Amino acid sequence: MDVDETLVAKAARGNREAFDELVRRYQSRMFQLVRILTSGDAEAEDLVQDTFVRAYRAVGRFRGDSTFRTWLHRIAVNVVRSHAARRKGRGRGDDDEEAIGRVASREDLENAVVRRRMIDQALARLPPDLRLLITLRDVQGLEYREIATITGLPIGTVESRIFRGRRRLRPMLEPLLARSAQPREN
Amino acid sequence: MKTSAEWSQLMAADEDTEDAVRRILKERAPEDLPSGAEARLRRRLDKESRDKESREKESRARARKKTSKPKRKTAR
Repeated sequence: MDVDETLVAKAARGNREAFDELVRRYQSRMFQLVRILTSGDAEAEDLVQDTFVRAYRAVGRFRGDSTFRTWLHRIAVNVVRSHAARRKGRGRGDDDEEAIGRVASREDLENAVVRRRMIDQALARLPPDLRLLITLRDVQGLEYREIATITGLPIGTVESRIFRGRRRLRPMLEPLLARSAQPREN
Repeated sequence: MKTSAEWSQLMAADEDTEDAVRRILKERAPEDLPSGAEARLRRRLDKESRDKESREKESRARARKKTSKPKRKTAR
């Protein structure tokens, strides 16, 4: 039994400390996922809270058909989808992406925060379905079969869409790709 | 019509694209949680625990009431 399974079994019996440990293990990852899927929405923290509250309510019924990690990602994706459906038609807030090419200096490109912002802006330009799949695979590091479980898509569709998504991302990430290909100067 | 060599070249280019994009995304630095986020989530879960407990208490009380209700006598 791995650590998650042990914690989930305890949490399912009502052990709150075990659930808190699961929160500690996954809160940052969930925050990262939700931030990307909502393109940096200011409500990301609330959505992560909703994810864990839903998981807490349902952990007693968790049957272990998938891993806890897969199950939690699925809950987060559903929370984000509901949120997007509510926001639909209301338009985007002030946090719309800036032009990708704006940041270009060498110093900027070496700054992790600037690099992250550029990656997020590129991801935000993908259609939501491709953004979700690419994020689950390349940012969150999930397996194709886990992604298929989370999204309900056949594994072949997951693979081909991820392939397509990477091809669309390539030109948008060009400044970062060029930078990482250059040897660093001292 | 593309020759086999051309297809190989195209496929190699695709593989390069895939690798390059995957590497960049993998290196994306994770953002820090907003300050106080852990404590705020803990408070929400505390509230959820209390609500859950009171819901369970209520439903137990309802079940007890139901079973202990005296049966009405019916005239024969």
